Amino acid sequence: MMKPEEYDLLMGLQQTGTGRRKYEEMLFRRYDYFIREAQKKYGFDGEDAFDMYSDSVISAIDHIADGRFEGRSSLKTWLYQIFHNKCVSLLRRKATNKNSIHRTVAIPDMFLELSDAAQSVLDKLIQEADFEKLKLKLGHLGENCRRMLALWSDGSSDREIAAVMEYKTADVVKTGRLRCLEKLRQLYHSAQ
Amino acid sequence: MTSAMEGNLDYIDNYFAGALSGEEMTEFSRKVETDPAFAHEVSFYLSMFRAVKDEGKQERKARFQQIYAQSLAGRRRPGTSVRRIWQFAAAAAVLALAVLSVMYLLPGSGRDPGSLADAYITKKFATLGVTMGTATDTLEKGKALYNEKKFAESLQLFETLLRSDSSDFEALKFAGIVCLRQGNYEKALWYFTRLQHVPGLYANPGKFYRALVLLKRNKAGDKKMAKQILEQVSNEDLEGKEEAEKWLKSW
Repeated sequence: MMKPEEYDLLMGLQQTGTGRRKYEEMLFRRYDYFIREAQKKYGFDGEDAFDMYSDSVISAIDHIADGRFEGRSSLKTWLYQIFHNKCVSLLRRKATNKNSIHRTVAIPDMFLELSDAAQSVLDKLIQEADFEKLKLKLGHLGENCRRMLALWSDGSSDREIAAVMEYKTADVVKTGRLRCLEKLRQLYHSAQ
Repeated sequence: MTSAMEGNLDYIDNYFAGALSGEEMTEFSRKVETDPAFAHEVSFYLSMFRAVKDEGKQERKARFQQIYAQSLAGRRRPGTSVRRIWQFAAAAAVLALAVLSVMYLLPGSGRDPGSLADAYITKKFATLGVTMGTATDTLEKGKALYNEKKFAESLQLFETLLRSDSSDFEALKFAGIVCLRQGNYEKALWYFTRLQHVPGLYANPGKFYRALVLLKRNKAGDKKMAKQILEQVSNEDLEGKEEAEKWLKSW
């Protein structure tokens, strides 16, 4: 069951825009003792323990922002479950000497509505993209574009982005957002 | 950008925004399977999404690293946490004094929003309409208990419904209303926020009800946030727009 003090935090995490940052940091601070626990219980070094905890918090934030956290257990219990699962996965990877970097691939929900065949086609093609180059080119976009795309990838609708960034309508945001994506594509494919 | 590419980007974006019909979604999948050039465009759209999302994740991690480093440094300094507690207590006392002064010195301050919310609650939430002959239905039982002012028992029934379907919009709405009547504003806000996010609802009062709870709760910052939400309700033509516009005029 959720505790009363957790509701305010959850409300804050469901905001869009920069108002949410304060609550993200609040969530991180509230249970950061999990990090020490990971060091004692699982024998992780400081860096691994920090990574597990911060990845868990980020995962929790995504779920809460999407409305996928239903509040059947307390926030602490739920976060600890995510954290524990990540720690166990890391222990297993270390035990089998797998050196690959574990990355949870972010995909929009609608990807799962595609046919299996379409998903396989796209999975293969996505592997071919130079991900690091794409992230580098992201840095060449203007501040407005980066902010708009960040809100979009966090799950904000065009209407919500319009309210946060003070654009007139959702349509204006959509046009702007697609222009930013097209600009990113051009930067990626340019010779420089 | 060629117009064909513009059109495709818009089409791809509409797919991932969930804006296409069932038939159009099937056609989209088929096109990905059979048109390699189109599949490349879709994969690149997804790669861009992933890159942006990953950058957001790295930015958060960097912030958390800073916070954690500060927190560790603070823990190592003896007496720091005790000194900090006194500093927070002093700041809280000053803030409380300031808020009380504003409440008592400014006439009418804090009364209007609360009375607007009170009048609405008294009028609209005094009872919940029960459908005759459906005494066995859990939702109707919950409403009947609410009408008898057995709020705790009615909430239990609505929460039972939510355990089997967490997006049951009626259970969310009534659970929020019960919590509001019980004075459990944080929980009411939680239910109304979830209600707000129920997809495909024709007339969703979630946002308006959130503003209502904030006006009733009236903590520091609540009135301002309620006003912002009411403006959104009005601008986005949401359920509660008529009330929202009346209240905004008399702000």
